[in-house]
Amino acid sequence: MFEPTQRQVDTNLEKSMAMFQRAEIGKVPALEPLQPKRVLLVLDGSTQDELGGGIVVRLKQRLDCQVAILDLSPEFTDTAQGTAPQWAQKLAAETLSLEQPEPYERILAAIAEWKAGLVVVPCPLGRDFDSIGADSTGTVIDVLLARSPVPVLATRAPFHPEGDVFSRLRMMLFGENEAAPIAARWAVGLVHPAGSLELVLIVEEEFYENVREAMHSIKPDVQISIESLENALVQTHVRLHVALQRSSTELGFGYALHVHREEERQPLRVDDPASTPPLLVLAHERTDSASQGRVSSYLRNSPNPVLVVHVD
Amino acid sequence: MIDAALIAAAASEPAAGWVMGLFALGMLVTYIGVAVESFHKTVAALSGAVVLLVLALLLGVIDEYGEIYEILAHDLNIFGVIIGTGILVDVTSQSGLFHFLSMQMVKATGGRAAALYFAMCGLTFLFVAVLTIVPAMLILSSLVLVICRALDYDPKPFLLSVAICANSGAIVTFASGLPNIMIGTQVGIPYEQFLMLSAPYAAISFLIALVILRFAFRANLPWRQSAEEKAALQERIDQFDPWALVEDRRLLYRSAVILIATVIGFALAQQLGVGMDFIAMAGGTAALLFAGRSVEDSIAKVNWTVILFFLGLFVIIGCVKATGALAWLAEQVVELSQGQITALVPLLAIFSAVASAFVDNIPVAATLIPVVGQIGAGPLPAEPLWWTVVLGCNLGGNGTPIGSISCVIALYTLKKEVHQNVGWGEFIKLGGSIMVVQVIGAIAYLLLLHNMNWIPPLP
Repeated sequence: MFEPTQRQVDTNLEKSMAMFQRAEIGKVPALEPLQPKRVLLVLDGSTQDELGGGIVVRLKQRLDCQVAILDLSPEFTDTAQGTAPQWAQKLAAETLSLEQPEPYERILAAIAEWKAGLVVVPCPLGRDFDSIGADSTGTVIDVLLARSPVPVLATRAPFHPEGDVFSRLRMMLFGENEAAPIAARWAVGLVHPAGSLELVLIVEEEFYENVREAMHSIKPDVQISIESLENALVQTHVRLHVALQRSSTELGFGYALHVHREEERQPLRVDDPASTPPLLVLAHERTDSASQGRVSSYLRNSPNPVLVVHVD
Repeated sequence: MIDAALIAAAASEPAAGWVMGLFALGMLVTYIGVAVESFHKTVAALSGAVVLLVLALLLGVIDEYGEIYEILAHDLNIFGVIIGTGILVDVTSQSGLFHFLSMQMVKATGGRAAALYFAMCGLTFLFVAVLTIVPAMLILSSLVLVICRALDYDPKPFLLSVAICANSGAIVTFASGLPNIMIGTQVGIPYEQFLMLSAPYAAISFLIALVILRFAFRANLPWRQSAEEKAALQERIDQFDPWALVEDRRLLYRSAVILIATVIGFALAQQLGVGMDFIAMAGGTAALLFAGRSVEDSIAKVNWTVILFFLGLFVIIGCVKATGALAWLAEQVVELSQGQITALVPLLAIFSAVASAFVDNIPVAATLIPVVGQIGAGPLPAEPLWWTVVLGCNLGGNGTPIGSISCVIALYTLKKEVHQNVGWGEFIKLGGSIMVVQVIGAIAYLLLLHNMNWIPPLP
């Protein structure tokens, strides 16, 4: 017969063994979904209000949650009152009025006072992309990422998905992350029962280079392949994967695990909604600077709404 | 008794004796190049093809270059089968289907040594039948290592048994091994005839192997375990969750459906009036369309080395055949056997098995195909001889540590992962004994079927 080379046998055997070892995880239950009972919608008078309002309408229809509106449009626009009254009527929402000087202080105070479970906020707040550029998130979002006690769902105009943002969710993980289980529970709670959820594990080229260099200096004869790092990443998150799989079976949504290399990552394109999932879910470990950097980076570059779930 | 002249008459006008000798020598040198490890098989075959084609044109063995396309036209279907099944196997393997099924099977055994052993052997037989030897061996070798480490069993009996059982699995269907594909496509053997003739003996040879292996490893595994031991094993095996191996359930189900549909398509190809290559390509295309994650990766996984090797090999055989050398060889074989099927079947079985135990079974099959074709051009029935070559070429792999890629992978894995060496003597004692019994059984089986007129004629 035609023999594969020794290297092919080694690679395939290692990959296959890693797969089987992955199965040794014990009993893993389905995830308990997390859903917001109270949603705070922040408006800034920009075109993004329509997107944020549309998202909250869908949440209210599906989850029957209570909604409050914090209207910050007078801060950023000439009009005394933007579209807040219409949204308040449409969502049967109460309108909050707070006195703090800075917009981020008012948002944080509203979350605390109204006991919100989720905040939907335009990103960047009160500024259009033409003035600060599409790759900027703004100070308010930076503060919310650092201090918000609840998950932040940041909308990103000018992209406006025509469909339900909760019909396709993509949760991205780069390595071990303590916020991953809770972010997954939020994803399971928010995904539409007829929708789909992807868990995407990303192996960063720079991380691979660092590990390879470190291994080479410790054990020069040991070769680390990027495939072995991919296997290690899957192994790290295999319990989460199985839990998500169980949840998908119980709740009915579609689920798949994907492992991407950074250079293979599909670009998030504004002009092709079909190529991009409507909602990205990012796990944010606040004490981890690498996690902070990745969340900021994805938020800056995403034309999609992004849900950021934090742990301290 | 058959008149050898009838075979010669069926062949084309033979070339001069020295021309036949020259081309036969060229073929022999190419085969030595294929067998020598320092030379790449495909380069050897392509080099031989270039040299013999130039000689054929210079010496007038073929009149014009265009004739080579006519020679290759008969072999195009094999490329379709290899490409289509290659893509299909890669896509279904990527879906985790076979890892999932094998882990489910292992869980069903509860980790008990005897049940696990027979389950592994049975899985090997089935997986090789569907996947061919190399992908099946890679999955099962890794499974053996992981499970044996988890349950504290010696992997050696498992790995050697898996390697030997793989060669029985390789004769189950048309698509289970390259010699089958070569013979099946060249001769036009319908898929269902493999299921009617080859598959039953695959099962018999599998049982022969199991009996001998079970006896050989009687002291290597705890065949009888207490209730406490079984409970502890069950607890350990319960830690494995097969669903952890599946990244996307939808892809898994789609892959399974496409695979089953392709197998059914193979079985119905003749009634549908299409070739196996069409079914294989349709299955491969469906896999790319509905279950493929990376089209480029799956296409790249097709064994292009084998396809180029076959290209060279078919040109060589076409040129040698055009000299009349293969017809002459067929005459000698018939004369040696005195035109008796009862002598030809054992002769071919022993030759193909022994040759396949030491060199690649692909060139062995490739050489025997035109020879048997020439014999079949006379009044002797070719059908028993084709099945002899199918069984002999595959079962011969059990004879030596280098006879089959399943043995090569198993012994390499044992050495690398378990640090155990299995020498030639030890392997031949086990695998060689099994091969001898299996080949004797194959001869008896085919002669019995022939005498009972149970071998269906080729379409």
